[in-house]
Amino acid sequence: MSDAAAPARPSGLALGVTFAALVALTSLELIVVAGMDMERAARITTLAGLLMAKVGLVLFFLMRARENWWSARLTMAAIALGAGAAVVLMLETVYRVSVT
Amino acid sequence: MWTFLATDAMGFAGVLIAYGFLRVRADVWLDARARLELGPAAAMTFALLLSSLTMTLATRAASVRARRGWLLATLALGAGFLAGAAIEYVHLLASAAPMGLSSDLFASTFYVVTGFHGLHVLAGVVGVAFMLRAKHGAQAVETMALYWHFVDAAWMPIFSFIYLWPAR
Repeated sequence: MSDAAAPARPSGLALGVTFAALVALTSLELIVVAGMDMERAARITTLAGLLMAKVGLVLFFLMRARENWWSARLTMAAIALGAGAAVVLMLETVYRVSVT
Repeated sequence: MWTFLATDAMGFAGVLIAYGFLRVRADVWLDARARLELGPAAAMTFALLLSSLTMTLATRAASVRARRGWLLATLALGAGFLAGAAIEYVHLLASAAPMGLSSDLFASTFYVVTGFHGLHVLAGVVGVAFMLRAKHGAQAVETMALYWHFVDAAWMPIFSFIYLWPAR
């Protein structure tokens, strides 16, 4: 594929906003862990949400998965399966600990 | 490239699922902050994020010279990430209570998961170094950037699960 045939890239502003959002989300993760007094389940749920937002930003804005949707689906499914299974397992453990 | 990334993502998925099972089925799971330093790991994370930015800028560079500059910055940040990981390993192995590969389940999973990702970063650094030496077109840099962003994305759940998530 030549440069001329390459799909349209996000603008410089969109790129800057994406990276600012990634830095902000990572900083939020650190604040949730080190600076906020939260229940364990709430903390895990918040961290899982921030994680999904970060991975989504990278996949859709940096890797431009939408433009390669058919071939990108398998990659996204594998990432979602791995991270999702780990999240569910740990939340299930928190639930079990909280009810016993 | 997407097909390769899909197979690689399945490898990461397998590692993360195994990590999740081992963690929730363990009788005892230490809090990460009892052993691991959050500050250096956060710095490594920001370095990897920044390297994704420099790699994206390399794909958008108008001239070969500018592209090489951004690739060099990406290489430096990737090498910095690897150096941070190596220092962390040395620190853990040489501490008063050494954390070896077979010390316990926490240690084993930590080394396997971070080591698996570290090998991917190393492959990326070698790839970027190769691009600096050889004459490659914009499309080759785009392909390399896709891999680099994938490695960045793969680090996100690892950083979250190992360093941030509270123990039971």
